[in-house]
Amino acid sequence: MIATNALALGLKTCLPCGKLLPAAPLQSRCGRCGALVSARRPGSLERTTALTIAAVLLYIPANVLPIMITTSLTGVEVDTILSGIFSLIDQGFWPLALIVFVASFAVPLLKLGALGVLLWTTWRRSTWRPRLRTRIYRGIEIVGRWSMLDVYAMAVLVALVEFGAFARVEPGAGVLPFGAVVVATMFATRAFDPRLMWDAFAPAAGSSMPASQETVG
Amino acid sequence: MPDAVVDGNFPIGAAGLTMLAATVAWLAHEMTHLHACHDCDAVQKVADLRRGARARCFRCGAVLVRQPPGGPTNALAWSLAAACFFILSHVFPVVAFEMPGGVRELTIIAGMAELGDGQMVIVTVALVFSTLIVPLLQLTALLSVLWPIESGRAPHSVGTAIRALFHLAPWGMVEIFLLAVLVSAVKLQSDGDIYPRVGIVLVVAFVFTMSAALAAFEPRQIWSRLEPSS
Repeated sequence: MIATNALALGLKTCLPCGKLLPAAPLQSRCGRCGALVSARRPGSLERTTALTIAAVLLYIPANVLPIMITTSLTGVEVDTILSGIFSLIDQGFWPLALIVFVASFAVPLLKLGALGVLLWTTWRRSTWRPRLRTRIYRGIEIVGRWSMLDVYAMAVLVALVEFGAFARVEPGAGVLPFGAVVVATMFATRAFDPRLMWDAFAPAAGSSMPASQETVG
Repeated sequence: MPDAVVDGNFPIGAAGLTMLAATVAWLAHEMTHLHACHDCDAVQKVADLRRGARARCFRCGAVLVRQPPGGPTNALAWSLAAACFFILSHVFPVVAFEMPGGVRELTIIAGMAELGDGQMVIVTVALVFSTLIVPLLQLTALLSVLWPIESGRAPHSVGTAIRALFHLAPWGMVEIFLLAVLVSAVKLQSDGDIYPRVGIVLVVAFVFTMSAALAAFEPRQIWSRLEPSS
């Protein structure tokens, strides 16, 4: 079956409610739910690229700086994300270590890599496996939030320890950059418009919104 | 060569008007069945779905429309249950500590207050936003639409509620908070006696009912209920 893009028919979709609207003014309000609708998310590639670069830069301090400093009778223990995972393994909590490893280490890294691939191919208007790339996009959209796990676990730990007076736990300098990586990649995913990947197949309409669309209405 | 007659007042007539109205109605009907995929922009016709069915985009596989089995009635039931569990999970303590002075219990709010006192103001703000404010707004949006619909009245501002739910979707993180409590409780196990309390079960119940409520809420189903003419 040959697909026709809505934009090629002069239509655009309201994302929150699904109504089809004329594409004509670049931005217009949905008559049904009142959302501000554009055929493609405005400035999608530029915004996503900026946020991804910011996230990559923040990723370094997030992993190098300690995320938690524990002072107990036996001494001071400084934990980064990775060393925290190793200490969970040392204590024998394998399943938990696996969850934290996936959520806090594997997911952010894979997410940055995936965003990089999506951006690179979309900037180049690549026609390489668009269905797979759309799936990747949906995947990072679903999984990205789970990386907040380590930030929250540390927060809960600090609260419990202050309250229970077990030992002294302090948040490390890595907490904020790590949280910022997660939030920046979430915003990057939100800013990315997967429809741009499919525009590479459309003959006329593309990521550069045709000016003629503006003058129709 | 004679010029074509240019007539400013094209006579439509009663029959023409009826035909025009019929055409508009048919177009409107076609448009409600016409979808552009939100992930790839492919235009396609979506048939009326059976209960419990969902339509996927033929080109990229995105879920275009779902028809949750119970419809708005189920969504309302789940939302009300989630609202109850939300309130209860903040009333009852989540964990307890065995301490020299006796057993002390901690609620979520008290824990967050404890955290906000320290140096972690930004993390506390993020935590309060994603586990208190977002779920509250989501519940408000769900109930403000579903309650009037189920009691036979027209909801006040469906558009605002649906837009709010769309934008809030990624930011509710109670389930992540729950796992975070588990992780830190395990980490503390060796340091002292820490016990779960009923509150943690209520948080689990909230996570399940809330995701069921959000899954049962399909904006397109709501619109077709509110605009039966099209």
